Amino acid sequence: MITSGIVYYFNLSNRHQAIVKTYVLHSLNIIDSEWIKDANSQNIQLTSPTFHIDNIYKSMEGPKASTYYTLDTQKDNLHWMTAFHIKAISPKTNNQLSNDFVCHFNIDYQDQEHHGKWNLLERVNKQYPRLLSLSHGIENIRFPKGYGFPFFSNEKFFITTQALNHNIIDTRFNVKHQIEIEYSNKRTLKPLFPKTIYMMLPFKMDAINVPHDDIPANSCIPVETKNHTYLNEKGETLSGHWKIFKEEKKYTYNTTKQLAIKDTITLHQITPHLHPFTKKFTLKDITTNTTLYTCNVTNHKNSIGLTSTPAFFSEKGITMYPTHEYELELITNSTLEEPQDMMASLFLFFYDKEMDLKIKTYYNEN
Amino acid sequence: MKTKTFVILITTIFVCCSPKKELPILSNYIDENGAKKSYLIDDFQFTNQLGKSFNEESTKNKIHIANFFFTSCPSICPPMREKLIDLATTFQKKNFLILSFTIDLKNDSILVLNQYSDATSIPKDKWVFLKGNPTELSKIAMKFKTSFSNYNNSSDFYHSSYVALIDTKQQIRGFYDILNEEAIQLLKEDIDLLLNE
Repeated sequence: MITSGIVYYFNLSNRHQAIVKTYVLHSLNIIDSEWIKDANSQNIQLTSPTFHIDNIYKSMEGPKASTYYTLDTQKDNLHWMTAFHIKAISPKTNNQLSNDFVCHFNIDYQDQEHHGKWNLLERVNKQYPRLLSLSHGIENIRFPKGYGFPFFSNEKFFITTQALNHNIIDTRFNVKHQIEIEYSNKRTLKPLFPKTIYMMLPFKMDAINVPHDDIPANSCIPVETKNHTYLNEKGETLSGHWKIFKEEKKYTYNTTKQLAIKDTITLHQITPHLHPFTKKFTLKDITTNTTLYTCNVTNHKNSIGLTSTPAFFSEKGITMYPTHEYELELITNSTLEEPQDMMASLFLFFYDKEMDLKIKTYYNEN
Repeated sequence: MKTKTFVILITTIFVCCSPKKELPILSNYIDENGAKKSYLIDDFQFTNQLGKSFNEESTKNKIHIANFFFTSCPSICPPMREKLIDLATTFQKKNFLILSFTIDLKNDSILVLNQYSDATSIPKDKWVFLKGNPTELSKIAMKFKTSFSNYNNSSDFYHSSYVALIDTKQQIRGFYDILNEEAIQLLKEDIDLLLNE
């Protein structure tokens, strides 16, 4: 039984070994398994359980933890999230460690609670309810002045944070993640509506083991075919996670359908989510042939990692139209011999006119 | 003896003074005039898998969860079904039941619902499969703050993997994505909380 368990464990992927290891370490209380949640009138602070780093953990492979968070279950007051931060800290000293140990932190709202509260039921089940993801290379964002994400004090959020380690192989150590969400009670803020768009590249299920030189342009070899595999309207398979090789490569994806813009809208904030060896990520209006946003990525010089993936902020906003076509363009440049995993998403925040009208009416009444 | 008394005393103080978790009441919304409106799940008329009438009287003073589904669902319903069987088994002996409303009114006859119910091996008074007319279905979906639509005119529908938790006073106390392990754990804790309220 024990031998079978050991054999089974060592046959697991690095990601699944991390899940088992973290579960055992937390269950046996060998490392701290509890979240610490604290809040004052302006900040929500969450400190994760301890993560044990004993190996190389690429994106999506490291130890992770999730929790639900509600500011105050017994109050029903309207607040606004305005800024988000994550950092790695030492569990012993609470001192900040390198953000190279932060893969990502996701915050999801609950569709029925969030939209149901405003009686906007037509929005339920229309998109994955992710508010934001902060990832390696972008650990802090603040919405433009005058904007926020509205929420009620008794609203529930689902929070996940995952550790990363691209470089250190000769030692074992522990980290925690400290998450901070700034919020405001100002009645003059305007609401933002989140939407995620991401690169998807076609692949053929029967050609995932062919040499990468044989893959047609603007298509891919997926990292795996279980998750992150999608079908387009033609029935073709596409992947949101794929392998890149030692070369500079350009990929494009028409994101018009993902955007699903129904009325003319303004875009005020963009948070990118990228992997190491990305060089540049661009959102284009291909109807007018204009670039709306370019993320010029800075990679670490002597190790693997993202130094900076700059976000976009604008009080004025960029106007986007239902009749226009939009495209994502990604340039990667891996310097390593072995294949690397790639993905590329943008978390977009649009001015939410419908919600703004509802909130103004609500403030007049309350 | 002294030590035992001391431990009991400290434990009692700790239990009494610890902040008790309370679930919010979520059966409310903000109306077109900006006013907060509360409501109860107290006005519905459906037929259960045995062909019998099922309405608000049937859920009075009972803690229950409710979800929307259809028997031929190829995507999220099969894994949801497994999770619901687990919940029904866990709370089988408690004042708890599950309501599953079909959204495929064309194909899910009472007979089909009953066969689907048989396959779960859960007593029919503990997991109730319900069919109504389109107006009743739309009305109850609004109360549970959800929506569904046909998927590209295929046999699949866009619908949620969330269940709503309703207390004995017919108020919604939470929504839970039962395809998420953390959410199931939380749902079990919250059902226990309501059972002890």
